Amino acid sequence: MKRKLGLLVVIFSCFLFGCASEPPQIKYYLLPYQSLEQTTSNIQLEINVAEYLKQDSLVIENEQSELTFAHYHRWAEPLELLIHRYMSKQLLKQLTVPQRLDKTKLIIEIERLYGSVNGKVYLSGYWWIEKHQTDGIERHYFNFQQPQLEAGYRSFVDSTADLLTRLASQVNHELN
Amino acid sequence: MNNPIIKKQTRLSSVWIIPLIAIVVSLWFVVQHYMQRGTEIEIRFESAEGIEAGRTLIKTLNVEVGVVTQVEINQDLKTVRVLARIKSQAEDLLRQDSQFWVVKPRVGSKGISGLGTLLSGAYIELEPGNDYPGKTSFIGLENPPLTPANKKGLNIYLISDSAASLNAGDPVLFKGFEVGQVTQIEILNASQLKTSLFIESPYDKMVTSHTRFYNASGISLHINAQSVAMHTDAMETTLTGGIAFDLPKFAKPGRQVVDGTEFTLYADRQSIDKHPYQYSADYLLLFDRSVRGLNVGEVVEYRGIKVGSVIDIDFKYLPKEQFEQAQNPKVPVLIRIDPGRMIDEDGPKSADKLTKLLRTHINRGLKAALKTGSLVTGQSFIQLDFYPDLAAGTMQKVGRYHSIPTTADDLDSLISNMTAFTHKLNQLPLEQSVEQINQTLAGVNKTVSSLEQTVNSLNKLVQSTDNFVGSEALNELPVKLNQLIEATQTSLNNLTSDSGLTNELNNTLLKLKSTLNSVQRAADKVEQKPNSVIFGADKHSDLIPGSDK
Repeated sequence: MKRKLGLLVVIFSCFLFGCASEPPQIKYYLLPYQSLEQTTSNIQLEINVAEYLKQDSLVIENEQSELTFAHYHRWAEPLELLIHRYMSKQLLKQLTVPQRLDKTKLIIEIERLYGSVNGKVYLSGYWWIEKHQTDGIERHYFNFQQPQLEAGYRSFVDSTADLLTRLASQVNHELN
Repeated sequence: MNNPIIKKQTRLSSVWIIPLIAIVVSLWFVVQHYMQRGTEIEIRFESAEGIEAGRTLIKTLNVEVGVVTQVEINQDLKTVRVLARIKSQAEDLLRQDSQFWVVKPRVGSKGISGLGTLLSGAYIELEPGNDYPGKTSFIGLENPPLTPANKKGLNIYLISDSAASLNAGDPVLFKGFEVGQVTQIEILNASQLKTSLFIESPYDKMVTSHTRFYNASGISLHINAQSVAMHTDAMETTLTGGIAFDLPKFAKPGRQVVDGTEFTLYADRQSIDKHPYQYSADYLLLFDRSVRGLNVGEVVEYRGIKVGSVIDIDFKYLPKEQFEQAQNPKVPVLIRIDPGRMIDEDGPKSADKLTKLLRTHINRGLKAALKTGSLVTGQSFIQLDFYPDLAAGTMQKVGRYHSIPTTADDLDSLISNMTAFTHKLNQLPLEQSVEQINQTLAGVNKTVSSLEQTVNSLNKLVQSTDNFVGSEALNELPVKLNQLIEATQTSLNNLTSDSGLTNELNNTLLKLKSTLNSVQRAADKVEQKPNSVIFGADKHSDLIPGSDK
């Protein structure tokens, strides 16, 4: 009787061990940190992202042009805040005539920001300057894409930062 | 040697018996055939549709009594001649008034008949009459007779102005039951039609001298000064037409009528109640005012009791010269009064008697007045009444009618109403009212003085308010208010987008949104794979960006 019970416990334990496989760890990403010499800024910036980007998961397009949301690779904080922080510093760095943004607000709408299994990273949307006068809004559209240097999520995050840097350059160029 | 004795045979040989018997039998057959072949008759039809020589049978009550032997076209080239043999035992059916018609499938308002002949083929129906037998030449009917020749019942005739939607074969109804049929409709002259009816026994006893027949086709809707009324008889007659008969309300059953009696066909049920009596008298009323609101069919009353109705309003009743010569041509209204209602006599002479009686009453002041029956619809009616205050008129002959003098009664009623109003005005307590008004005025004076006092008090209040406005405390109030507004402004500024509180709130909201998205994904996962709650989700690794380069 005791032997049978022991055998049962061994078999049951085998089942339980079979289930207990090691799951991959969840990884969190930030955009690259940038140090600044200039410490004061009067730039007012507002970042709005598309609804599907308002979540932690990184978004990747598969071969069939379908979007998948990564489970084990996530943004460390909401994407809007990450972009806001990164762009603020980029604009501080790049703007040659920062006075252009005095008493105004730069609004950036991100429509598309995702990587793909074929290695391309897409960033598109539009930006405009909100003036106090109620004259017409002039929208500036952007549509960047860049191949990532190597496969993997780290490289995707780096490429995203590069594209945001290009966006800051475009804003600077247009304002001049 | 004896010589043979030769005897001459004079008798016929017995061998001949056989042919003889054969001849006798043949003759007997021939005679038998001729005896039994029956009578040959001739029937004329307009066409021989469905009739075939040698095949078409002649039947009575579905029993075969003969067969068609030959079908040929007559010399006039318009009719056909059908020769047929009737069995000898059925020869008695060939009477003077026997009728023949072809039974074949027919579709009509009475339904579908003769369906059985679709398979068996058409046959000729023989309906034996009641007359003496021996006729051999007949004229065939195109359609089956509506009433069987030997059926018991009553034939009557209806005279009417029009036979709207009536046809031969339409039903005759008594209280909704079909008791007979319209057999024929004839035109008597330009304005009269004669409709023949057959009422089946035993319902023929329902028809008495007081019975009134009316057209039961369609739906009749009547709106008059008194009411709105709708009437229909059986649904069948509403759709296909028909005649109904009934006794007028409160009429006694009269005496039994005989075959061939003539009745009047009324247009609808209401008409028989309007004039339930057989005899009536028509009179002409000449109004010197508008008869707007008076319709044909409106009632004629004598002091509120119905005695007749308006049957027409038309200038044709006025003699031509009278319209041309008169300065103010009057409007003629033809009314029909039932002597039965007024003098309880319904006979050929009752109309003359009523006219005589009316003449006497007219001399005493009887007049016809146009009265408004309904203020809502404006319908009017005719009232006969005595007007002792007015000069009595006389009965005159206008065209072929007698006239009854008329008056404008509405004016009278207006005057009498005015009189009543004046009388009531006189009875009003005017003096008391004036005293009360005086008292009221005195009260008003007192009120005015108290009002002055109130105004004085108000003035004082305004002065004290002025003092309050000039006080230092009130002057300091705007300064304090300004300070408050500034403080509020500062607080609001702290809440603007740059302040920490707003950022904090924004971040929290973003985090919350992200969390909700995760919950949404988890819910989706559970929905797709419910057991993932226990066993966990599939361990698919994420796609690697750039892995497919």
